[in-house]
Amino acid sequence: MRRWLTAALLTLTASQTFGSNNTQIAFCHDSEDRPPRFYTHGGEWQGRDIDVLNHLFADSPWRYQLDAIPWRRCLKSTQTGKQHQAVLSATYSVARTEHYYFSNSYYSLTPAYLYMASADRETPQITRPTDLYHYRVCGIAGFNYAGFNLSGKQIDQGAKDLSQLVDKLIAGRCDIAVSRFEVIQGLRERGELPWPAGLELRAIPRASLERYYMMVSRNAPNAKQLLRFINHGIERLATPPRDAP
Amino acid sequence: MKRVKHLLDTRSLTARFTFFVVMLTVVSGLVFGGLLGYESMREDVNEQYKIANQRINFIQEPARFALYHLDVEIVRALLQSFQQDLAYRRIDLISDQGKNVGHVQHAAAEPALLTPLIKRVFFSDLPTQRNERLFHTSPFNARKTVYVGRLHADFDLNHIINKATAALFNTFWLTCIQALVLGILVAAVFYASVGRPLHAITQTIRQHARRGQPFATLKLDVSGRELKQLVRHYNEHASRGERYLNELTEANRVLDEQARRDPLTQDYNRRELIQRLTATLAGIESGSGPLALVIWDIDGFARINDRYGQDIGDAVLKEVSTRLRHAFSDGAPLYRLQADIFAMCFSTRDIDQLATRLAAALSVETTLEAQKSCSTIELTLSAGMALAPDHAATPESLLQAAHIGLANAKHAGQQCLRTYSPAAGDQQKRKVDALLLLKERLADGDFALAYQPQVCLKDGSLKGCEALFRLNRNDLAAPFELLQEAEATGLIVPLGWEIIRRALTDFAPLLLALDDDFRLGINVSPQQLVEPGFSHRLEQLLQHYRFPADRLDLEITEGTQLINNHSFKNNHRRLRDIGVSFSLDDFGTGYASIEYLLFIGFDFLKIDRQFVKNLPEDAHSLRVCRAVLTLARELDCRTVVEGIETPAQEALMRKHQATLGQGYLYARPLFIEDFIRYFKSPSERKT
Repeated sequence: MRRWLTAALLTLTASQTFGSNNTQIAFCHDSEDRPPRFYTHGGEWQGRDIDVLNHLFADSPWRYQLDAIPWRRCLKSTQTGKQHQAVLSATYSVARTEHYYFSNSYYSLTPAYLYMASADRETPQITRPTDLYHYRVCGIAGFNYAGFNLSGKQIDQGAKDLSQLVDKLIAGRCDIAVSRFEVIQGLRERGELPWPAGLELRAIPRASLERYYMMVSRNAPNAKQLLRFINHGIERLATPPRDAP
Repeated sequence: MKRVKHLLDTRSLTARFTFFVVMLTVVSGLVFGGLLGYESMREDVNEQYKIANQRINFIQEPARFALYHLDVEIVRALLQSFQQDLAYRRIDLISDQGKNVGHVQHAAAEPALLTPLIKRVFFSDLPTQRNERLFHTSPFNARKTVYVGRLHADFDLNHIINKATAALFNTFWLTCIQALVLGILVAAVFYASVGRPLHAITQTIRQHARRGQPFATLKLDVSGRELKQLVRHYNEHASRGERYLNELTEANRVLDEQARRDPLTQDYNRRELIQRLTATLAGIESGSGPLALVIWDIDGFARINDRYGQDIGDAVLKEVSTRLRHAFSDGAPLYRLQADIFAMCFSTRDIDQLATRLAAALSVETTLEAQKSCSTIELTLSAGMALAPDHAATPESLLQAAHIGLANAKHAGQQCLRTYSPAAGDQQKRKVDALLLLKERLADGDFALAYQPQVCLKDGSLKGCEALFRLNRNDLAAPFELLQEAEATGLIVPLGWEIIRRALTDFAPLLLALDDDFRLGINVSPQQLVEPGFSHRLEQLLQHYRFPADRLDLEITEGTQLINNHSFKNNHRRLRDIGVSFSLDDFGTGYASIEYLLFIGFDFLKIDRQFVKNLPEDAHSLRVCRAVLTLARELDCRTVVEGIETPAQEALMRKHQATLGQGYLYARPLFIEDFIRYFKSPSERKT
């Protein structure tokens, strides 16, 4: 009973917040495939993020809009709160809190690293995250690697995508390429990532899971109400239904 | 070259100016354009080459970044900008793994006509390829660079040079067009400011010339200092020219008047008569009356001149002129054709009345101051008349016909009028023919001399001879008409010298065989004797032929007056001084014979044959002969009786103390060979 009352309250609040039944919330997302959370299949976007959104707006009279655009453009666009009001699958950093509200985490990924194993290369010895300090580390431009606990470490973030990141690793531009285990694994399985012989994927031992959040623009109208709407949905997502087994 | 010069000379000033402006502009444009274009082309090629290198430089940094990060999209994006730049044949970006990450390729440009030459001459030092090794600073160590690949570029110099050459040619054509436009503008300005005003000036001058106003001033409003000066100076020049022409016209009129008038009497001259006759005869119509040309001659005018001098002669001419003008005002103007010959033209149908008037005015009596004393001179005129178109149709022939009429009047005894007749014309023609014949003979020396002996009446000895002119050896008759014409035309002077020379030649070798008092008589014309150098020349001839002067006798007829002639007096005195004797020929038949005898000294007096031919029967002739012989004795002159043909005549003359006899009784005129036989054979005399 209480759940229904809460839902009704939220619906009422959202109604007041967004003004009308026809209100549409614009989300943006990185345009690169990030399976399993976000990827194209048969010409349509699929993945966990789509599922979450569908869940959030399942009982809502409102609709959402999702735009897959380059990550940096997505951040900039949402920062103003006009074209986009929220960002999916964002990691936390203190700097981002200046412009965004963070929702509750709605999933997490395992920090991992890639390296080329060959006879003329020494295999990186990584037993804990700080071991990464001993190697030349590459990442993707615009990505937040704060969850890798590499503060102060120089990361070559010149690659613009995972494919280029792998190429650099192959070319020896760096010793280690950092990424998320689940993403790399998903792309590999989908055959969307070149995987030459000797390329190895390892989870960073003893590293904390990297949590992902939705970010709501502080400049969006009624940003906090939207944040509450999202958090309530995530909360509902995390709570098993009463009639679930 | 001549054709070019002809073209330049015949083209208008505007066309020539335009031609030169365009040519100079084009030539200078080509020269300067060539020099500047050459520099421009070099700079253009070098600039394009520099820009091509700079563009390569510009992409090096992003290429390094892209190659380091193996960002093929960026590499391709970098090279994409070279897709339209044909300054490169090929650009390759090759990664450090040897992989051609990106490239741009263009087809090689076809070299233009001059491109290979320009390339070889001016741009052979430009590298056509560029290879750059690319390094990128390691993001992990700022002091370390990483070799990330290389950039290779092939420049298409043909394209660069083609482009610059095209710009050069564009400049060239632009220069040509500019020159053309400039030429047209300059031509238009020149024509408007110079050509058209000059054309207007020349047109105006031509119109003035066509209207017969060569010195009319220009009334044109022109602009520009030079053109104003031209018009002003032309007008000044035209004014001066007009004044000069007026002065010249007046001077010509005076000269023409003088050329047409006789300065003494102010009558018109022969030239004017001919001109007026030409106009008048051309205007005579068939129905109009005849034109009568009358000419007058003063009878014996030469005697007046000789007797009273030329001043009185001139006064006589003026008086006659005045009288004729007054008497025949209807025939005016009066013309003076020769010294004493005047003429008038009359247009009248009544010829008889005119003849009557003319005949009544043939006597002029005038009082003139002659040598400090007044003398009344009675003059008579002879007149000849010819009618046009009856007698002649041209001025010259009409004048000749009138002269023939005048000659008829003279032959008729003077102081009369005679009209031209064809018979008289024939006679005149014969005279002319005879004169021509005489000239021919004189020129060829084809004439003969006959010598008629002169014999002493007392003892029959040969004392001299008279040289007589004959046309040829077959004709002993005397050519009186011929000699008269020679006298009238002055031909007697050269003929006389030729006779003297021939006679001296014949007799110089004979003198030794002849008596010491033998004298060679030669007839001399008064015209010879009035020549200033006659005596001197005769002396030279005598010396040349070694002929003693005292063996020469000059016979002078009394037909012409010599009394007051200064030259004659000098010649006469000088020749008498050296021994030359003078004979008065044909005494009694001429004019003023007594005056001759009184004023001129003669050694011999020759009695004319007409006083002898009727002797001894004619008592009158005998009385004349006796009187003449008495006069000669009184004047201490010896006498030569001509025409003795009978012994009775000889005896009679001997009785009356005549000195010498000449006639057929002794011998007819003999050619020199006969004469020699004659004097060498006294027995043959009186044959």
